[in-house]
Amino acid sequence: MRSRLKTAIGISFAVLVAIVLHFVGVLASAENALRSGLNVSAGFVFRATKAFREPRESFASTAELRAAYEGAKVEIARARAVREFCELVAEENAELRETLSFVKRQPLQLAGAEVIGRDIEPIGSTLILSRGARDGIRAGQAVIAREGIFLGRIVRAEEDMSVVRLVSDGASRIPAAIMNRDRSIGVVEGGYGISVRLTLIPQNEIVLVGDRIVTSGAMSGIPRGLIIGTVEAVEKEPYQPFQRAALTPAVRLDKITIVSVIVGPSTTAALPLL
Amino acid sequence: MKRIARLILACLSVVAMVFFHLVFVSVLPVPLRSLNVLFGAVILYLVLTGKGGAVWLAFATNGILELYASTPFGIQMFSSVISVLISFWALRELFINSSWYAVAAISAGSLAFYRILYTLILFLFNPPGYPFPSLRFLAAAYGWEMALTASFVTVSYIAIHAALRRPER
Repeated sequence: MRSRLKTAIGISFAVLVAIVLHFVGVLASAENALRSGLNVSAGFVFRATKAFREPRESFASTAELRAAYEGAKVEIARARAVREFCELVAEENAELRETLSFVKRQPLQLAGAEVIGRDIEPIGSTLILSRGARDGIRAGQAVIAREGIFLGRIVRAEEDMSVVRLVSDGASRIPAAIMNRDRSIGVVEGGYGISVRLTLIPQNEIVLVGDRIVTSGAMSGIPRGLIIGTVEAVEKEPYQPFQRAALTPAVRLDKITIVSVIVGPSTTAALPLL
Repeated sequence: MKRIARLILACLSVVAMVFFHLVFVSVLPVPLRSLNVLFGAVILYLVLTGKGGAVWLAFATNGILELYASTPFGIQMFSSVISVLISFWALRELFINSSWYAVAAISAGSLAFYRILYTLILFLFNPPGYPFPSLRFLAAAYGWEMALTASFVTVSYIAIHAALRRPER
């Protein structure tokens, strides 16, 4: 029994020494070298296996393909019209802000990064990125996909890699706003598999299926207005002070391969129109 | 010279195991992604060889995996080392008959202890107000991990025994 206790103490001491050496920085160069080697090969395999994670769409007949093509053309035309309207509104908004002498918005500074791995823990919903502190990435910065779709926050930034905690992670809590009549606020929480929930919505406010959820800007490092998802279902119980909503994220979180990290100003800022 | 070659081979094996774990997780669909390849490989090494070197294998592999973890450095390493150590003692004292159900029990028990210790340390070291996942979510995630990893270890053990045609101890 005594020898077992000695063994346990000895091994615990070895682990403690390794932890201390890590935090002191003695192992930093060895860690970086090891990580660089693993990043290159892991990134290569992650890209190579993309085909398995993204099965191609198939069509049963030529007619089905033609129908899908015609539908896509209609969607593109509709999206173009919406985009032109948004550009017009943005111009008017800029003119009004200048007229009222508001502080000028600066475009956000973005650092692009490639996803080289994900979810190394079963309880975590994380991404490993190919860029880190060397490229200006710091813990707490927001990570987006495409044109302003919020994915999560940086929780760890090393020299040449960083880790993103996605909105679907069990430990993720992001203050958000609903694009409804009341402009309700709430907290987006993960830990429900691939979907997320919006909690702490005041009971008296009206939330409808299809309402858009965006970041509220209340958290440092996350600008206001980044799209999180849409309301899929509303859970409302009488005599409860708050209601909840189940959300569908704006993008498939398990299909992300390229992201952008907001490394610039964290105040409410405009995303560059693409 | 032989010792140096063995040491180099051991180091390369450790890095290869971590790489395989990182890659495997990325490729597999949910819920198979819950399979803990690394921990399963360490337990498999333990039940096949019965050697205490499995504890140092857990130390080395989880030490490298810590480089990619979102949790504070050391939590995973410490939890896995202690749970593999306890599994080693259990293998010597309790599960003296290395049949497939003993292997399944060691795998599941070891992983359960690992996760309990890991969650406890994570809870203790997080600052107050830190958003901790709900117990229901943790139970579901750990349950899948335990089921898949124990199955992986048991099936691998049976296959390796059949291939090597080793008699059971």
